This record gives sequence, C-alpha cells and structure tokens, in this order.
Amino acid sequence: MEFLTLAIGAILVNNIVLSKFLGLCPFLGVSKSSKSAIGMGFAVIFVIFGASLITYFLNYYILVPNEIEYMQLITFILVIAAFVQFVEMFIKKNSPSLYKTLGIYLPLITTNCVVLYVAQDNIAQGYDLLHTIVNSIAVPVGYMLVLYLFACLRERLDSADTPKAWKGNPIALVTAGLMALAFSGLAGIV
Amino acid sequence: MKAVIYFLILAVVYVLLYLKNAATPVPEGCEHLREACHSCQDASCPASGVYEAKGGVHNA
Repeated sequence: MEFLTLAIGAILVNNIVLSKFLGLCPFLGVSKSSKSAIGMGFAVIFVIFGASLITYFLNYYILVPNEIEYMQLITFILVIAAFVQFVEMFIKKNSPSLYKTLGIYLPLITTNCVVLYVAQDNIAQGYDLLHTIVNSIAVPVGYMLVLYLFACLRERLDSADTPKAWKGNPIALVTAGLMALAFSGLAGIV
Repeated sequence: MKAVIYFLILAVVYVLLYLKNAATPVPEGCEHLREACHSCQDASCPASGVYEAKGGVHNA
C-alpha cells in the first residue's frame, strides 16, 4: 500500500513536469507527435531507472563508506552522462527506427534535470532499495504520461483554428499551464 | 586522494563510452536528424535545428 501511495504520488500528485516544473525542455521539444512522445517516455524511464539504481549503489557502497559524500553531485552527473551514451549506442545498434525517432533527443536526456533530480531525491528522502526502485519507475511514468497527453493535445491544436500569433509554442505553453492547473487539483488524494 | 581516484575512474568510463558511441555507425537515414528538430529556437541547444544556422558545430 505504501508503494502504491508512493507511485500515485510520483505519477499524479507530485508530477515531475506539472508540479515540480522539471524536464521542460524535452517536454516541449518532443511533444509535437504522440509517437515520439511515447518513445521518449520509454527512453526516459529506462535511463532514470538505470541511472537511479547505479547511483544508489555507488552512493551507499562507495561514497558513504569512504566518507566522500561531497562527490555525490559530480558522480551522479558522470554516471547519467555515461549511461545515456550507453543507451544511445544500444539504440543505434539494435533499433534504427527508434534511433530515427529519438536520436536527436537523446542528448536532451543527459541534461534533463529530471534524471538528476530522481537520483538525488532517492538519497535525500532516505529511500531503501525497494522505495528507490518504485520511485525511479513512477516518476518517469508520470513524465511519460504528461508528455503523451501534451503531445495528443498539441496534435489537436495543430489542426485547430488558432490565431496566427498563438500558433506553435505560445498556445502550447498556455496549454501546459492549464494542464498544471488541472493536475494541481489532484493534491490531497494521497 | 580517494575522491580523485574515484573521479578519474568515472571520467575514464565516461570517455570510453563516449568514444565507443562516437565510433558506432549511425543507422541509415539518420545522418541529418538535427535538421528535423524545430521545436524551439534555442540556438545554444545542439539538438536544435537552428544550432548550425547560428554557426554551431556538432561533434558527432
């Protein structure tokens, strides 16, 4: 039950994009098509999950025993960057179609603050391994959910009768703001 | 000293992965992906389609 509460909180109530306003660059950049949004979402889930686990073990089995916790930030940044390089290499070799869809956005995952946030938040909250796993999956699932919803809305907006000055990013940003307002109504359900 | 060694190990791992990734051939049809991105006009972003237009140079 506790894990369910944590998951629902991470996905809906404390949604990383609409409540904490992190990861906005890929959120706006990848949401022009629902297909690329789904692909980006899965890539983010994979990277955040993997990077969070690696940083968790690095923190508790290397940094803490050696009393070099001050290296946490640089460690996490290097681990995330290295992991994204690995993911890009893996996608290039194994899924050219996915690379064609996502390739341009993969560098955005490296600098995506959501990845670093989840890695650091797991440590800051004092989560054990199971809570870390749940949080590391739930947060990017929430990210993917919002990304997909936003992509669907943008696809509809493209064919809508929008004033010329509002077409593209202006109306998209207004829509994102309205989504944030809508999600703020979920506060208190867990 | 431990921190320096630890940092160097991580840096070496990152550099090796970066070089391996750069050496991995790009799939067919994906050579000019950056031209496809027009989501924003941020010229400082390497993923942006306006990056090269503003004189940026891509490393990979």
